[in-house]
Amino acid sequence: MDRREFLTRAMKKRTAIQQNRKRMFAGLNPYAGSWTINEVTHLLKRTMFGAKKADVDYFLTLSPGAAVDELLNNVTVPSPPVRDYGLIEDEFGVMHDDLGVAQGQTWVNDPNTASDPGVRGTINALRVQSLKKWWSGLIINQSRGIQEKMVLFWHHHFSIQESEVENSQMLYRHHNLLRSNALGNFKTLVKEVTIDPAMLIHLNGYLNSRQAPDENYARELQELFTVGIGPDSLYTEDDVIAAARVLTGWRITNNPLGSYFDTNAHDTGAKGFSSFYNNATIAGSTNEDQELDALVNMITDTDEAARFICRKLYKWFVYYEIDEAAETDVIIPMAEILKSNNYEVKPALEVLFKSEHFFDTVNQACYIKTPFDMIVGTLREFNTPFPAYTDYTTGYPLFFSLYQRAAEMQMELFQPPDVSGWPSYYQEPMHYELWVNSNSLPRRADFTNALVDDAVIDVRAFAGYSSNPADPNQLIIDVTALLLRYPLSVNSRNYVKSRFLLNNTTDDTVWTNAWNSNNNTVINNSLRDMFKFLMNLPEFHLC
Amino acid sequence: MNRRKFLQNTVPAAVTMPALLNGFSFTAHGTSGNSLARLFDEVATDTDHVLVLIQLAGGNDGLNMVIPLDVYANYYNARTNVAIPQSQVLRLDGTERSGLHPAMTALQNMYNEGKANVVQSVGYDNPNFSHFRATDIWNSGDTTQNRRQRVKTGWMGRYLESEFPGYPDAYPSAEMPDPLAIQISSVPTLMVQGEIYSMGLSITNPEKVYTFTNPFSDYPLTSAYANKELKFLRVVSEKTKIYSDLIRAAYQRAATMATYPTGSSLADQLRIVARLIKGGLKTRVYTVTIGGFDTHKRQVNASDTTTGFHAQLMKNLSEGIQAFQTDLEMMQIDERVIGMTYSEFGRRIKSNASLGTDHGAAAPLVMFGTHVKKGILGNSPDIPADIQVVNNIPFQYDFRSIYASVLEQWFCVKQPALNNIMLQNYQSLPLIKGGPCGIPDTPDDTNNNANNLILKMWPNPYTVSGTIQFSTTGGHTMIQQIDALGRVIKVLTSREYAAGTYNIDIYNDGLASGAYFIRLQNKSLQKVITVVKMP
Repeated sequence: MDRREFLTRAMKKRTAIQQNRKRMFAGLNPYAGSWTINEVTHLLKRTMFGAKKADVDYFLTLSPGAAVDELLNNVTVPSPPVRDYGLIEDEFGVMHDDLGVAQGQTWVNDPNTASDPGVRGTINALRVQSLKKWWSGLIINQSRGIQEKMVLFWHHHFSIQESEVENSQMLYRHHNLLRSNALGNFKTLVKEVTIDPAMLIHLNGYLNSRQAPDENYARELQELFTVGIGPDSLYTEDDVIAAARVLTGWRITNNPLGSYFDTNAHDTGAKGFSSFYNNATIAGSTNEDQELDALVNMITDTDEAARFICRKLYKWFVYYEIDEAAETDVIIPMAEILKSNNYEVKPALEVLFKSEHFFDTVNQACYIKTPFDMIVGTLREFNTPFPAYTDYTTGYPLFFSLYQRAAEMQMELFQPPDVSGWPSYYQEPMHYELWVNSNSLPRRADFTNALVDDAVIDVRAFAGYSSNPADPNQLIIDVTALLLRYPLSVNSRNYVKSRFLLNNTTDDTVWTNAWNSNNNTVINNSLRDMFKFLMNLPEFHLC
Repeated sequence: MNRRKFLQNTVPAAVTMPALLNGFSFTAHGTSGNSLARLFDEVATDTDHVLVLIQLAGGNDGLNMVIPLDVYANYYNARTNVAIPQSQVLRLDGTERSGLHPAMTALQNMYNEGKANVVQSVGYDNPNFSHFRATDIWNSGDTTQNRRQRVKTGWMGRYLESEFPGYPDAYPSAEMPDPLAIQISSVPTLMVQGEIYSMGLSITNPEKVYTFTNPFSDYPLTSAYANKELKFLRVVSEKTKIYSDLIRAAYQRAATMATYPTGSSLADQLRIVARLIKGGLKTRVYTVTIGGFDTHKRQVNASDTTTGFHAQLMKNLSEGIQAFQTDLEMMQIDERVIGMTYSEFGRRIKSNASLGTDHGAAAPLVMFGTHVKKGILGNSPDIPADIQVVNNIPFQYDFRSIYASVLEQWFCVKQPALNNIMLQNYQSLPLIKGGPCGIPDTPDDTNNNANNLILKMWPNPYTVSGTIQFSTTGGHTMIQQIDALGRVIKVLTSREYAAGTYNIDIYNDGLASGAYFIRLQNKSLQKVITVVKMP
């Protein structure tokens, strides 16, 4: 079937279902349905990377509401990345130490001015690398909370690129800003990001002056970061110019790293805005907060700003299609909650994750895993042990390989494709489907095959999660319930059972006897082949 | 307008144009109308030609690859610590003006046998010195500075999409049963990116067997969204399996015939490409990559500038290409294949103190194959006697003129498709011999004709006013003024002219004092002179 036929068919189907849903559409009412492994894995795979058996068991003991509360409130503050590199070779082959920090110490407060000038560039590159390792380490070591997925969301939202910023201290500072406010206040985040050194570099804010206004950031602030370009976002070209004037004068200091307001470069004239912003005027000021606060308030006072950010969160956590019903019954009320809570993110997320809509079967199993869902989610679900994120000797090299695998699958930390973030969350009509193509699918297969072939994951321990692993039927039901969100049909389960566990027969005792007699060769070979097969199924890419 | 209607209206043309072509239903992607235009024109061009692109990642030091013997004193003066000694430069048949790096004897032989050529000073009007951005520029063929107005497609992606509209849905097909493009790397590059899909497959191991499995057609969920995504995943995994099986089968059908150098990743990649072509794939484009060209330091050894990192790269490049060409000849498929190198930029004229060179602008590129036209197109770059750090080599040929000429003369792309793919009209350069697309094989007098063109300016140096005199053989003629960094800062004329000699007066041009280049382009001919503005 070709793509068009396939799309129209899917669309026809959806129209039929929508008529259905009009009657019984699940909105933001609190979810009060069943609380089984199905609902728990749905919640965990969407809010964390993978659903670990131990986490599933734990959350099953809580109520749905308590589970969401715990996910939203379990926030940790990690210690910063550290120097993991040794001596650095200069252009003449001479070895130098990083005189700013010792190995194992953090470099985030060191301006990299102490060492030989010939190696500072390399030191900076090595620090950026350690930052990527550290972040990947935090993702693989995530605690039972939404924090890491929110940090990644904000990186997608306020997308900056290492290739533009090229400064390890700035990248860390920017990252830490996102991390510290990941479940905090959106207005604070917008204000802080606006004058963040990395963003000032990335979108030319540091060049924006009264004499020569630079509109780059003012445009993206509205188009990408706050109100978007949906049909109800009616800001004008003049609003871009006026916002650029408000933001004139912000400059960077390198030692210590920070930004400041240069009143000489600031345009102190009054700035008028369009009717979209209620014809607001922002009076000129030489106070560093006054105009910036007024701008952030003015933008976030629009309903569209709250809706825009809710749509982005929805696409990140639920699904990429937002039909009329979802807009009316989910986005708009969620945006009202966001706004009435002065843009605190948590109350809006709370109502979403506790809603009937989130747990509606129509929203289950329809999310194509991101590269990090695929890599970290799989490793976590198999309970693969990893060193602590602080372990720079044995941990960092492993974390770096996670970063590299994700980059190969087209999700590179600190290097989203451009300032709009990853197209899987905005590019019509494909969205999530852009993650999977004839290039990335083999990379995903290489990864899961290698996990089994190289015994990175313990398939036998995973089989042990089953309530009765000696029974091939129960074993398949139990492992697929953890591994796959899209259930296998009875026929499919029988196929897997016969092919991998029963040596192509229909005799269940083939497996039961092998398991009970602890026949290592048969058990391990069968499980290895079965898990490779399961992880190569298209169903495995859904969560 | 309500949101739903809005979304429907803003969905790209991607899914709006069904049609039936050769029995295959397909989808036309993109808003540019390229693919739609082709639809009514003709089906894919019938060609068995193959292009192999060798990316020299990092920025190749073109001045030490093709050494300008006719301005050797200035060359040596500008980069004494990395300069190749004049006596060791490899000489090329029929020219005293330039020679090759001493490590490139293999390429020297190919040139002398008429199987390789050099195009001088290839670049573009506003050189970017960032690896990332400059690589994107070369891959996309778009130098637009405004991020929002840039295309997000690659030049090869646009070509392949116009030839094979509806990829990947309607493919593999009887007309194109194989991958459109193959990149020997772990990730596809922008070069083969189409409007939505990559037109290429990236592989690292052609023999890899994938066990993507879609054994069951049942969809147990009643959720439309989940079923839609599962269906999509199944289609992708089926196609991926088909393509990986095709690649493996082709690879296994052919055997390597020539001896390739060992320990060279470029040679390893080219060996795979030769086998895939011989194995029968109809794939039109292959890309391979050799890294390590970012030679800020120690590109040469102080004791002997003909050795060092860059020398090793030149050796690997030259020997890899020769082994590949030999392989193709032994396989008797050399008539079907041409190749060319490209790099995101050249390097600075003046060397640095670390026995290296920093990011620069234009640089020569090399083409090879039985059908490339022998010779050196263009002149040695103009190297000032009083070299400054900021001096860069201005472009003589726009890199997109090379692309356009290859599409026109090797893949037989005709107008208006050619302009659609290249985004505008570019100079057609004489690069291919034997006239495979029925374009007359004119004798190679391009450089002579260019030298016969008049281009002068008086007074030179000038202060407030001056006159530029130029001649044209007729047709489109353009004159650009380029600054020391290699950026085009003024286009003095760009229009159709009758053959003849013309004057352009300059008065109070507002430019800062300093050295500039005046570049004349008249169809395939071009000429550059240096002028100086005085305070």
